[in-house]
Amino acid sequence: MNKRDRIREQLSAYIDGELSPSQMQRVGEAVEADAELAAELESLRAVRELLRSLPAARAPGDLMDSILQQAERSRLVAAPAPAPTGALRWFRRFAIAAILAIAACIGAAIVTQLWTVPAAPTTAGRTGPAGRGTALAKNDKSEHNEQPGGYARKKYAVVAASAPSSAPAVANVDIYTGDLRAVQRDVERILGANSIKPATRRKSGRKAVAAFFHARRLSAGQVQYEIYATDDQIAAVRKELGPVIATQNAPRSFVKALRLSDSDASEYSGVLRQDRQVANERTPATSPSAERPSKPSPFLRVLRGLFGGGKAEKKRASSCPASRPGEGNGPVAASLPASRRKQDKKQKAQREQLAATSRAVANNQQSRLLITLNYRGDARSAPASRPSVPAVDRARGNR
Amino acid sequence: MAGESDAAAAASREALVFEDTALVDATRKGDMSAFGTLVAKYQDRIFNMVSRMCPRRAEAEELTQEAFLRALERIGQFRGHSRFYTWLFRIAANLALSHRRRVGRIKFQSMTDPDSCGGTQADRLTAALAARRQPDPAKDAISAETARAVMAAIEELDDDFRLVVILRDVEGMDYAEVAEVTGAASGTVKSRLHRARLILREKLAHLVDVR
Repeated sequence: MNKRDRIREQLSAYIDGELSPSQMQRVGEAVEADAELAAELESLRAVRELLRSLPAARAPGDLMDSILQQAERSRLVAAPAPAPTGALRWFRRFAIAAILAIAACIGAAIVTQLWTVPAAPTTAGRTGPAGRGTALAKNDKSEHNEQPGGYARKKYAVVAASAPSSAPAVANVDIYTGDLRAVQRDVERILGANSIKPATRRKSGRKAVAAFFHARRLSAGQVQYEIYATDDQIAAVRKELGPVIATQNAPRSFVKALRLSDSDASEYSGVLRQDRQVANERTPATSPSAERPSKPSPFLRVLRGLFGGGKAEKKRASSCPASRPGEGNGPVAASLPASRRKQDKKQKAQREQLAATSRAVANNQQSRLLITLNYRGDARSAPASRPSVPAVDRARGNR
Repeated sequence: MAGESDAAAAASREALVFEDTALVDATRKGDMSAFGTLVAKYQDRIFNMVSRMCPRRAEAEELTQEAFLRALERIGQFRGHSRFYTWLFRIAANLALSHRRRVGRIKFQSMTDPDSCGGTQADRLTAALAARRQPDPAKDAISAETARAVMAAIEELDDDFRLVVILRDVEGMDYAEVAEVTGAASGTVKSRLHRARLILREKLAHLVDVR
């Protein structure tokens, strides 16, 4: 690179005044002496002036309001819990340690079983795609009573209810829209109308509700709703989503893929079951061996001995809510103060709610629906040019 | 004359930085009105920059909103080593770049259509800043057709070049600020800007000659 090229390289910085004084002087002298360099300098200056004269784009008037609304909402959702103190802190640590221990036991049991039992082909009659949630939550009454691991299964069903990431059925709905916020509002309205509420947190963990959803922003222009509800609720939600999608000028194939013509919700439940079956067939390697005629591994037998068996059943029977004093109509209940009775009643309602969730999972009634809202700038103007939508109604394995 | 205007611009920037520091502190403490003031101050600039990177207006709105929300989310991580607005621009620029990579190149749409912005508080607050950035109204005297041609030429630049050109020539940042936003060295900014202008000169030869 000769001296002229070096000067040429510095012309942009020269017109921006971003060179040192000595460099400015050197370039200035070179430009004065060289007409070609001077012409080049002028053309670069003209380019800069063109760029500078572009009209500034103004943000829309309601942008600030929507930002602040969104900020308030996300703050409410992500509000940090107050710092725990004293006994509560220790209780939390203990609870976390207990959860980790349980998770480790379950993981070890699954690994051990998979390791000791040779892989068998999945059977057609099984429901639920993959994951311990399905296998352990399968709540056949005869199996429950006859097998020593029945109580353990029941317990795992409760664990599965509090860890919904492994809940059984999965269905996906992708919506491509030009107005993300409006569709968000519509989706949340539909969920609320079907008694599917946002998952809330309590001090002691996730609140047990029968049907709930998590909303998360995956990226700019992509919002996902993860819904846990019964098949009927999910069917109703998907049915009500039809007009929303139609408003967004979805292609006809999209509407067909949602089976919007299936007006009967129970018919739709069959679709969900098909989804599960498809998922089973797709992911046989990860499917648990719920119905494999095999001998349980020694580790699992130890676990069942710990959780199941006569002692555990007796303990469960003795801790049954109905047999507790204060909840019946006997003289003990009458002698309790009103506040205590109210508290007991509240606790009973909570236990029943949790039991309902557990039953839903155990009976394989609770399913997962993923609604993903994707921003598409051309959704309104040119629906035909949108790429094909591959993820509609697609059964997917666990995450 | 140019030196005086630069000094005035630098002084005003210093004042803004000072205000930003107080607003950021208040936002950290949970004062949403302080955050609202920050949004009002910078929404036009961020939107302007993002809309040059992603010309579709609705996308630009989404990305601008996302940038502010992300800034709020991470405001605890802002240590004040850089200026707030360069930090904010960096967030917005990264979002715009990743969005472009995701959706691929898209055809240019005009951003020069008149907007129906209401006279909100945000407008009034940012109008002064916009006027400060472009004190000469004659600069706005550019035809819609010319603006479209310039934007189309910008659109054809590589992402790195485009960002540098937008930050320097559209947003009026100096090289150090551009380096802060892009995370590149000052020398890299200088060479990228020069190369970008050379490319634009070729693409806009007819306009450059006319002018």
